[in-house]
Amino acid sequence: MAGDEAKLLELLPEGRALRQDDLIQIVADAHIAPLPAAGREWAGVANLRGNLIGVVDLGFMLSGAPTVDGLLVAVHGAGLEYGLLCDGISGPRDLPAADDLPDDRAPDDPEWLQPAPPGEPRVIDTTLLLEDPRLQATT
Amino acid sequence: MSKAFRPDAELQRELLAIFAGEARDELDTLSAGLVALEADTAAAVGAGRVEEMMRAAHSLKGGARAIELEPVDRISHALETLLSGAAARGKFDSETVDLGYRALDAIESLVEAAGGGPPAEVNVSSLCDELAGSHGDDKPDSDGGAPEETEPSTLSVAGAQTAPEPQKTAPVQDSTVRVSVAKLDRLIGSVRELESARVGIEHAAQELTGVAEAADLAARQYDSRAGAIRDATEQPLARLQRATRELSDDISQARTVPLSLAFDPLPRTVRDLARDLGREVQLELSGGGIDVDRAVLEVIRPALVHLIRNAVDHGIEPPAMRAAAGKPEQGTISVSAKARGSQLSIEMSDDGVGIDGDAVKSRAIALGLVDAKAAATMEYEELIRFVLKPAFSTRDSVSKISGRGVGLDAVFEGLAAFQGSVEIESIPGKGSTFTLRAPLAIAAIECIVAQLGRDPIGIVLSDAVRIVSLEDREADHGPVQVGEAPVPLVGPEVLAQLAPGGHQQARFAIAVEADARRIALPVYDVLSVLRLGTMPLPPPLPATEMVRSAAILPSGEVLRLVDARALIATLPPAPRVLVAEDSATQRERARRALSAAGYVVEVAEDGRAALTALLEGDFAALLTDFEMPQMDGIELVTELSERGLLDELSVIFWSASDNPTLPAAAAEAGADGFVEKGPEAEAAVLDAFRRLLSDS
Repeated sequence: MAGDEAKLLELLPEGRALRQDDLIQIVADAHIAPLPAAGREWAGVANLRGNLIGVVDLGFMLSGAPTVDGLLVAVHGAGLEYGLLCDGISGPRDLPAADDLPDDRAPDDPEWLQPAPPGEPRVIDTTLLLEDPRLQATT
Repeated sequence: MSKAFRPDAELQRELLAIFAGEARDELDTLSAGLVALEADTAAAVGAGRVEEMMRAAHSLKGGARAIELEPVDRISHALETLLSGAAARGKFDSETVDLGYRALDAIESLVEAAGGGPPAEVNVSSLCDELAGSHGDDKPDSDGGAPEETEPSTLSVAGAQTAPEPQKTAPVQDSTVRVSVAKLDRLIGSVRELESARVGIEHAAQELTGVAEAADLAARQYDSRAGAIRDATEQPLARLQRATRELSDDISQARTVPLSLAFDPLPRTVRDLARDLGREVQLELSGGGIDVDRAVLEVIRPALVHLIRNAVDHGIEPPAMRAAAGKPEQGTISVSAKARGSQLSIEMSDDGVGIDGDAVKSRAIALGLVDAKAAATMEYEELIRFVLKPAFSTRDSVSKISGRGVGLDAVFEGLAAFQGSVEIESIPGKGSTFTLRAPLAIAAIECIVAQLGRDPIGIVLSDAVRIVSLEDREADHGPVQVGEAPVPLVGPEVLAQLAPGGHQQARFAIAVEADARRIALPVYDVLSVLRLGTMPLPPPLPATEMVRSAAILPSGEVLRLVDARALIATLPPAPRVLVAEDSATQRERARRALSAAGYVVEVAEDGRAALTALLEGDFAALLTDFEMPQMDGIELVTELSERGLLDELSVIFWSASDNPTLPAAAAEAGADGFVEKGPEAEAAVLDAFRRLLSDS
């Protein structure tokens, strides 16, 4: 699998990143209204410039533990705007182009975490993330 | 040589979004044209349909080329060839029309795929060959022999809305610009932010006025300073108020679109389904000229398509069956929209078979939506509302048309998020009517803002009946008194949903009403009543029953709006009441009053029939007359007492007699109350049952 050079925003905990093209805004002190009936993967709903966005709890998606006092990062994917609640951001970085990236994902790794060269963070595919079945559950 | 323009990824995405909107309009034009050509070729050609379709195909081609969507470019070009060839021959046979539809379907799926949708399964070269090869005058029939007979299938298009006159000439200079919906959404979001800020400043200014008045009492020097600040804020605030309101109105206006955009897919949908299922269907459309907010249209459009599919698949009978039933072989589906004040009302009626109440009942029992005992006592009107429940379908197996059991609940959810509704009426053998109601525009509505846990929650003011204090209550559980009637409190599971981090001791309860039933939501504090623009929960967030929409508070916080119907749905099933009354008029009056109040009502014409019903069914209450054939009221209640059935049954006698001994006789027999028949009798019965049944 080949990877193109890209500008990234590395998230906390380390090892995960977003393409800067997918980033809309980092929202400090965001108020996220909870919607537990939507599923624990959803942190709730937030205000992004006067519009509502659903917020995915990235920490819960990755580790099963809810994110506490996290930072809201608004992104777009699959033609939609939504939020990712993460522990924080560690800053921008470049992802070097790579000719052959080994697909070193573990069997239970989600598809939306892209393979990365050794030592580089894994990039979150913001479109594939929304296809994760855990986000589809309704009550 | 200049370098070729290559849009970056972001620009390409924006261009694609613009093209997708444009393509939808052009595809609608083409689809409507094909329907018109198939229905009456000569009339459609005479009305300039073909030229209009050629323009649409050409625009599609140009747009696709601009964003380098080559497959759409090629198919649009081949479609132009097909249309021009058929126009030259003056012949639009069913094969040509079908081919045209296949081209439209292919373009639609390719555009969707380009926008991130599912991959399109289109053999572009093969389709283009068919489209281009179909136009020649010397094209042989499919097998070189006689033309193949096609299955009879009719789509009659009646009403101006289905076949609008195309524009004869394109305007030389259009005074409008195409703005992407995403941009409009961002603009409306900015307006909301401005509105929120304005409301926040208004509140601050009001507080400042209060401070000034207090200061006036305390010390004159503070008043002069506060007054100066107030004067300094008044003028800019007034300007801000005016500007934001005008901006809000303008943006809202820019978002309006004609309802006919929701009607556009319907003729094609009916035509295709009627053909597949061997039905003959006439579609009548009216009211497409009403302007609605685009967000409302986005809900209405798929809702109508779904209802139309249901009507053709489940409603309209095959021609032979209709003829046997004494109906015209051709069924009729009508969609009629009306604007009343700020509300849009759309009625979709069919003259088909109606909703099968027994099938609905069986399915509802199988899905666990109701138990067999309760279902047996439900009225038809009540039963058919089960079709709005998630995953409901009366089909034994999933059909590719409308038996997936998804959709009607989504129709309901979508409308509910806008405080809209769906009503169903159906007469077995005669047909069904679905009435969709929604606001014409996303207007601001008054909401009660309350505090339960850490985050605020809202109740739409029109859903609320009363706010009552809980501080003087002796018990911290059980119903609260709202006026004369006790009202149950929302249970802890719901409170945990609304305040997952825990909630403070409730000091108030907001009583809400829906479907003639009431429930009270305990809250810690009632903060304010604000006029707010509400929005459905945004995709991809899954819908939740308790919260379907939200608004943004002046502070920027999100206010979740609690759905009153969902709160009511947490109540246990409504109590069953038996009305034993020999007068048909009195019986019906009582039945209607009790049904409207949320009770499940059965009736008996005499005491003997009432006894039989009471022995078989699980009733909570009995309303009985004194004088009845077979067995009178006293005999009935005495019999119930002897069988030990009065402990679990509340009994009210009613009578028009002026015999003063009747109340005592009723009490002696074991009744819980007596009501004198008259204009206020039903209200008195309701009060009595509310009191008695909440106590039990």
